[in-house]
Formats: sequence, structure tokens, C-alpha cells
Amino acid sequence: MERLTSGDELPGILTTRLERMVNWARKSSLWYLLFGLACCAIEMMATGASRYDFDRFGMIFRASPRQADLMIVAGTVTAKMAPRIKRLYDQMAEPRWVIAMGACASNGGPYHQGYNVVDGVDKLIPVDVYVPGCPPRPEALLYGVLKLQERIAKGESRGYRLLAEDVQDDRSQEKEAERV
Amino acid sequence: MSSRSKGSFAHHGLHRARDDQPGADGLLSDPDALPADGLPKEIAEAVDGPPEAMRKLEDGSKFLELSMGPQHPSTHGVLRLAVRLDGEEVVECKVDIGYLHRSFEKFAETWQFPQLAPFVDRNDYLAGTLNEHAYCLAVERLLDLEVPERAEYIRVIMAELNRIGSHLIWFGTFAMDLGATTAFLWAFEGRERIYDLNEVVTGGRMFPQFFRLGGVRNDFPQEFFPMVEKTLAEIEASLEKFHGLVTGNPIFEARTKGIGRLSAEEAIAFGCSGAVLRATGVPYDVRKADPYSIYDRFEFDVPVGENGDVYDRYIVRMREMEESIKIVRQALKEYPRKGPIMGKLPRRLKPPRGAEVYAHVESPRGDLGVYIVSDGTDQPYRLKWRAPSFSNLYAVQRLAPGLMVADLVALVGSVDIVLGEVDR
Amino acid sequence: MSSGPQMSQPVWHGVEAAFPAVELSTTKDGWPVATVPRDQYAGLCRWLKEKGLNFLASLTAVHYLDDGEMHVVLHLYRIDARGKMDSRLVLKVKLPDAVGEELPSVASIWPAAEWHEREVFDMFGIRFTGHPDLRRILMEADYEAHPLRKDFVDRKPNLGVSRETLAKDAASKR
Repeated sequence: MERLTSGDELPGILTTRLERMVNWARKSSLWYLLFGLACCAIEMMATGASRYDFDRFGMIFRASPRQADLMIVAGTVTAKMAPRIKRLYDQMAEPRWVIAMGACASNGGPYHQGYNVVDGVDKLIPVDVYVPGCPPRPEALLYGVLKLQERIAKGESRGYRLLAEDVQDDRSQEKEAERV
Repeated sequence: MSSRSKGSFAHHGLHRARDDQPGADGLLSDPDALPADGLPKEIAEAVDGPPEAMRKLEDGSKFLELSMGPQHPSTHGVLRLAVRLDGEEVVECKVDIGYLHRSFEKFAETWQFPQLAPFVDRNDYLAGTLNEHAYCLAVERLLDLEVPERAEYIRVIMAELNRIGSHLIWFGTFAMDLGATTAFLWAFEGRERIYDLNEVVTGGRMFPQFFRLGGVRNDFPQEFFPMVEKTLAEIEASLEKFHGLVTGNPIFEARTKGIGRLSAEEAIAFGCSGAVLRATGVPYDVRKADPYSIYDRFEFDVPVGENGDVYDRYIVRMREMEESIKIVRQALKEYPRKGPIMGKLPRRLKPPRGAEVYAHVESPRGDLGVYIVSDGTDQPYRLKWRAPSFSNLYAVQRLAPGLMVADLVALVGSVDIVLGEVDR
Repeated sequence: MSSGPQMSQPVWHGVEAAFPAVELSTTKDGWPVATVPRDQYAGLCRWLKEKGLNFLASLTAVHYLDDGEMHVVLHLYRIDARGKMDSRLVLKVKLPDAVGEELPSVASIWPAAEWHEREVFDMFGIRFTGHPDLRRILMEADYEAHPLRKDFVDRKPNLGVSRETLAKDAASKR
């Protein structure tokens, strides 16, 4: 402390904007929800395991949505599962991000015509990064994560904000309708 | 304030479900259920504690209703167990499946026979080639296709390698269910070696998409042979390590021995197959009982257990990996280096009208059957996927009452379900 | 089929004498098929179980829309204590194809049938009488159609708004 306030020089001081600092902190510890839907979950596990190692990026899996920042939707979203995914997303604390991993989560993939299949998880929740592949290789998922980190660092990935604004808008619309 | 309609981003998932009938599809209820603070009623209740969860019965005892899943680390995918508990003891367990029902059987009716071969990989997504083997076998019997000997060897080698890979991932996740994280990381390294082999031969990691009707897509490349020798030796060594890590561990034994016991008669009556049935002492293995491909040429044992409990299922699967290594070694020794890898296919695949076949193979999870009915066109009229996990999971529902919650986790882990195959 | 197990004298031998209405045939790959009238189905199943066909591998249905028929198909084996599969049989029952047709449940004979029958109920709409717990198994409880019927009209879950609306949404944000 003494050195910092001594006056002649200020070693070890870095000036930055608070927002940038916060974004840096956010992108550097993305805890993801341990949440596998189908085949892609196995590749997600492989990415988290020893060879590819998510921990290098500050990513640790969490079994509870309350502690997670990132939801990797790994697998086919079915109509039966859809409301549960929505609820898990709602249970996550903001800021929160979503990666749609694989063809099924992006747009239904090979199952997109199925009578019980939702064509893409973006019909339910805002997606920040889409990772193509059936299933994507761990390298592809890692690339997707790096892209998301880039966007978080720039403050660009704000799908959850739009969602919140939407809810806000709709609520005020409802209130106005009641008043009229 | 924007002028966007009610169908905006936030709400369409919740409210505008099927056919504009709110709540009719069992998705999250109707818009009226939204209380003033914006939380859906169900969530708001969950926060305060749902009043119905504790049910008071006439004798005064209380039961807790617990919903395990569909998002739960120990359910191996999207399985839901609706459990009624008395203290920590399971009184009733209802298994709720269908969260991964991807309409595969309906698809199969609209796709041509060769198109489906790579698609079936995704049913039992831990062991792609085994699915392809069952499917190709069924269609080859339907169309009277001959498979060259060399292709059969390639098929057996790839299938057995995939079986090892599947058992490794089972070992890792099962150990993690019981709290052993190290085993998971070690097992995955072994599985990565299998992936490497898959990649060298087929180009794919998880889904090889390698078997074709009447043969296989390509030959082994030259670098495969030294690589597979090395990998098999490594996996043998790591199996030793796994035994040292887990098998003799007193905590592991306390949590697995005598848990979830199934008798041989029950296992057969419940339709169980694979390691679940073999752990009860019945050495039923499709490779021996109804030999397909060229499995009758190899010498291997069918490991069996005695008690039919979680521990025996573990031991049976661990020994099966050793047997698979034996089969791969024998197949590599006898592997004919010359000859075609694809049989002769007719230009148009037209099975006889009304013909039907049922082919089954031994998948890592058990007796995997494919039933195809043809109407004379190049598409199946009906395709039924007899998934071994489906019947094995039924046994879980029957075995669960009387167990502790923690033992239920061990039981589900030991049965080795793959939801892609259960729900199809 | 040469690859099949040896079946010189299957355990269900004598089925023609006990059930004269049963028609026997063989599939393309050598599985014996017994087609039984609807009213004798439960009796035949009980008889087969007594004779030793103890393993129900699959119970499913095939919808023949042109003939207006629904075939319920069972694949049965016998697995003995030495792990041999020494007998096998395909059992078929023909029903009219209307939704809600009834067939006795065999879940009391082969418990494995419990979930298979639920699946057939879910996918084809056949009601199994005497079933312990006949509910939908794969689809949501309030789903209306039976997807694997040939006259099924796809009602895809329309969870989202159209892509145009989403694009408009995004444009209004900027």
C-alpha cells in the first residue's frame, strides 16, 4: 500500500473501465450447467474430461442451475423436454448465456421433421453461439466457447437482456391494458 | 414501450404452445397462471415449498414426493424418476421416459434402406457401430445380401472396439455416480483412444457411420494395425488400474454389494438382457445363443455373476471388456488382407412384398433387436427398434421400492441405460 | 436361416393340436409365426408361457391402412438357465384398426410386456384390458394423436413464432 501511495511512481496499477473489468471476470469463469439431452452430451463430457479439459478456460460444471452462468444445450430438444429447459434457463441467475451445441439444438438437425422435436432451442431461449456438427467435435465446442468469451468480453452477448426487456415490455403493456 | 405483439420472444415458449391451446399440451400452463410478480405459478410454489409434496396418509405417516430428473446428473440423460419416499427409503418409483422421443420409428418409414444405415447410430449413441450392425443384419436378411468375409472381420473388430468404448464410458459415469471423479477422468482417456481408432478408420469419433448394406465403407488403413495393438495393451493396463482404484474399495463395495438384487427368473420375466441378465448367472449372450456375423469363429467367455446385484453387474462389464480385447486380437490375427469389403448389391433394393425379418445382436446394453416389415418398396413399411435399455429400465422401476435414495442412484447407474435408445 | 439356433423340437410343439385356429407360417429369415384369432390370444399366451417361452423380447404393432388392419406382433424366445436360446416364435393377432380397439393385456404373463403395451397404446391407440397402468409412455399425457399409425397427421409442436417475427423483433431492438 505504501508503495502505491508513495507518489513518485505507481507500479502495479492498471487503469481500465469498470465494465471491461467485469466482463473480463465474467468470461474467465464461465460455469456451465451439467445438462445433457442426447448424443452431444457425450461429446460435452469428453470436452470436460481429461484430454480436452474445460478447466483450462475457467469452466467447471455445476449440477444446479442456480450456480451456472452458461447452459450448453447438448442434444435434441423434444416437446416434452422444452418446458423443462425453459424453466432451467429461468432458474439461472443473470447474466446467463446459452450455447446451442450440435445440429439438433441449433435447428432440429437430422430430426427436424419429427413430430415431437422442437426445431432448435432458439425457439425457447435466446442463443448466443451455435456450434454445428452431429455431434460437434470437442475442438468445435471449445471454439464456440472461445467465441462466446470474445463476445462477453466485448459486452455483445446480451440475449438474456433482450428476454428480460421483452418480459418488462409485455408486463407494462398488460398494465396499460388494465388501466384502459 | 414497443409495439410488439404478445407473441414476442419471452412468451412464445411458455404460452403459445401447440395449436394455440394454452396448457392443453402439458407444457407450462396457461398465461392466466402468471401471478403479478411474473413468476409462473409452479415456480412460485416451488420456491415457497409445494404444499402437496408432503402427503399425509391415514396412518399418520408422511411421504415425500421427489422428482429426480429430467435434469439430474445421475440419471444419465433426460430420465425422470418420480419417487415417493418414506424418510430415505423408496416406497414407490415411477419411471417417466419420453423426454428424448425423437420419432425415429416414424422417420424410418420415410427413408430408404441405405439412408437409414448411418442414421441408426444415434439411437444407442454410446456404441454407434453396434446399432449399424443390427440394422444392416436385418436388411441384409431381408434382401438376401451376402457380406464378404473380410467385411465381416472389419465389422467384428469395429463392433468390439466400440463395445469397449461404451463400457469405459459406463465405468466412468457409474463410478462418478458413486462419487469417484478420478475414475471418470481415467475412463475417458481410455475412450479417447477408442475414438482415435474410430477416427483413423472411419473419420468419425462418436458416430462412425461406417457399415453399409452388404459390407463396410472402407478398409483399414495401414497405420491402424500398430495403433490398435498399442491401444489394446494400454486399455488392458488401464483396466488393471481401474480395478486397483475401484474394485476393492470398501466404500464402493458397501454401496454396491447386495443392492438392487435381481433373480434369474425375474430378470428373464422383466425382459432384461445384457449384463443385467448375466449378472444373475444366466450366460445369455446373443453372440453365443444366436450367432451372427462370424462370432462363432472366436473363442471367448461369457462372464456371469451370481447375485444379480449392482456389484455383479459391475464385475461382469469389467470382464466383458477383457473378452472383447480377446476377440479383437483373434480377429486381427485371422484378418484376411485381401478380398472385397463390399458385397454385390442390386441396383434397386426391393425386398419382397410382405416380407418381415427380426435380427438381433449383442449390444453393450443387451439384446438389441430390429424388426422390419416390408411392403415391397425401398423403404421399410414398419421398423421396430427393440431397445435393450427399455426393458432393463423397466427392471429399475420394479427393483426400486425398498431401496435408499442413494442406492437408487447406484441401481440406475449399474443398469447402463442410454435414453436415446429407450425413447428412440 | 443357417445362422439361427437349432430348433428341432421347439417347446411350443403341439400348438396346432391345442389351438386348431392357429395358423403357422415362417418369416423370410426362418422365424416361425403363429397367427392367432383375437379371442384365443390370451389363452394361447398363457399356454406358451407354461410351455416355456419365458422371454418377451418385443411387443409391437403394425398398421395396415389399406386393409384396415392392425397386427400386434410379439417376439418370444425361451432362454434357459445355461443361456441358450432354444425356441423362438413370432405371435401375431389381427385387429381392426380403429383407435380404442381392445386386446387383453399379457403383462400378467410376461411382466416385460407392461411397458411395451404402454408404448403400443401410446403409438397406435390399442387399449390393453387388464393392464396394471395403461398410460402414455413416450408422449405427454394429454397428447391426442397416435403417431405411428399410418393415418397420423403430423402436429408438430409449434412452440415458436415464425422466423419473420423473430427478425422483426431483432430489428426493433436496434
